[in-house]
Amino acid sequence: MQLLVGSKVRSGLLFFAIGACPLVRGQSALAGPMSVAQIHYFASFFERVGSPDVPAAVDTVQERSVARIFDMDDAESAQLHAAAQEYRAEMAKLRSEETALVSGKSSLDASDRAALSSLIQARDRLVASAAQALLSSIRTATASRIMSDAGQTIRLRARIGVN
Amino acid sequence: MMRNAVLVLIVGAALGIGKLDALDWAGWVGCIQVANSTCPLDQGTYTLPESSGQVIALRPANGVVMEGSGTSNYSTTLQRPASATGDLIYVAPGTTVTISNLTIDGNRYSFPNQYGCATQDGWCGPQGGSGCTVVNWNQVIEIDGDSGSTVNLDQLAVWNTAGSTPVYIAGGTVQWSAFYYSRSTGPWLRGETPGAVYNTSFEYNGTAGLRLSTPPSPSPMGSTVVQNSTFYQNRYEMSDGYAGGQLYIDYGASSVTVENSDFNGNNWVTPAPPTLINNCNPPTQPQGVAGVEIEPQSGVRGQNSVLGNEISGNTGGGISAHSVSGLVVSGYSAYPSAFKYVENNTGNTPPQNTPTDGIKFVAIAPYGSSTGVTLSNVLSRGNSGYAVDFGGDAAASGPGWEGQHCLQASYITSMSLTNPQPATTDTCP
Repeated sequence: MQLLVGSKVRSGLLFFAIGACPLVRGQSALAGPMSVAQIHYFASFFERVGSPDVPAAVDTVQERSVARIFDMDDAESAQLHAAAQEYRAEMAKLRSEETALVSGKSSLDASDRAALSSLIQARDRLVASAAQALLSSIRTATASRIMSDAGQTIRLRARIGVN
Repeated sequence: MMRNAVLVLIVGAALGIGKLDALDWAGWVGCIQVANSTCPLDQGTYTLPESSGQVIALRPANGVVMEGSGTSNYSTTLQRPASATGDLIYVAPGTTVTISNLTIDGNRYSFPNQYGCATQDGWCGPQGGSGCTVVNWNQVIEIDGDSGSTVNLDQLAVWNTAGSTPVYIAGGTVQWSAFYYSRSTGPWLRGETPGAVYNTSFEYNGTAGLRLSTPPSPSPMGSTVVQNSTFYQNRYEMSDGYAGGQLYIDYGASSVTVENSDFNGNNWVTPAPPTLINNCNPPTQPQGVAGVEIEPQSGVRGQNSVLGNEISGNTGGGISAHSVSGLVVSGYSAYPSAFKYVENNTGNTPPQNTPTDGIKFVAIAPYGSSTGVTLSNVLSRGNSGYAVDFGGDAAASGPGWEGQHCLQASYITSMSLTNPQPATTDTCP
């Protein structure tokens, strides 16, 4: 599994079309472009299984657990593992750039904020690409379980005031 | 400067202006004091101010959303000042607050010889220990949701906390959050108002990953759901000195539903002294970990349900139910439609070194036998002890066995159940 993230994350476009991803295979559980709320859901999903900010052993535990929770078979678990590994590697780069931007500064100027905004956009592209790749490589029933969970999370977030 | 920020926020709130750009620390502290504000904090690590070793707590107003910014919830961290006690965040009665996209660092190893057990000087639990200063763990709380408040946690990481109850909330939704490496318990949901825990991780906490409780009668008890969550090798340090469960359902706690979650004990047994765990002394005797521990009189105001959970690798039993007053156990859950096993809870349960049961019932004095017990389509296999064991509670009562069960080991039933014998099948799903 290959995720669509440029090595120069800050040079990316402000807008992107998920459907244009050439590496998406098969029928995705998503009918169209991902909404902001769905991207936020999958950001949480991939942070759970592939965060570069926690020990790799913790991610591994979560990865196995998430596979069980969503009733993934062995092939799907392998796809999840690949997606988590890619996410972790790419997020490590974004987090490194982010840390470099803010370290030693008591306040952020306009150029800092613009650079940070670009990093968040790059994160969103990474998440959307990883989600599409995962959803298109697993069984429809498994994808439906994940999207059902996404729906529940999005409803709850709306209720508690989180976008 | 801060007054100006507050003024802007008040005017903004009055005009109905939505989400602000991320704020610096002074602006953020002002923002959270304005009711119904959404307050994003700039990326970075912020050590809270203190005075004479006491944290100056953040006290958000009603309806406030406190959130970090950046590429992940690890981008923005609130850190406990070294060796300081007190609340980091205090939520007053009647107040609803949401905390999102943040990390809270409890900074436990900054406490010399005490909460963090950073040096090899003693056990430092509530009962003290050789060379230890006895301290009040209850004075170290990261999020203190007072009685009648509602605290929602979304994408929050809490780690390295020193207190016995680092996150103490009356009710609210906890989702996509993570609680790691606490000296003691992860969050404690007190259950005054309905609570829910979704997609949340609990790993390597010193005692239970999650404690679910209830206020004394006659206070109302909200229902609580735990779903799609991960419990892994909690009760790692056993800082209270005793065995217990990764999920702790407290005395009298009622209307709790635990479903489609994963309880993996990683076969953990605390080592015998002088081996240390995170530089702290372990209990004097090795102790095992249960997956779900359910205490006396739980279920008395609405039965508890443990449905469709994967419960494995726990050396103190998969589910350990003590004199309960209303409990349903099933291998199946309705949401999401799935089945899971209590399985491979192996080895021996210390210190008695008896084989580890899948599901066990024990009568505890002075509470007597369990009541209201229903076993519905139980899936229990591959455990070193019994699949289901009523040997410690031979007079447990209730509807008893319902449906078809997969019990791939022997079992001990209670003849006081209305249906005392299970219909078993060797063809497990």
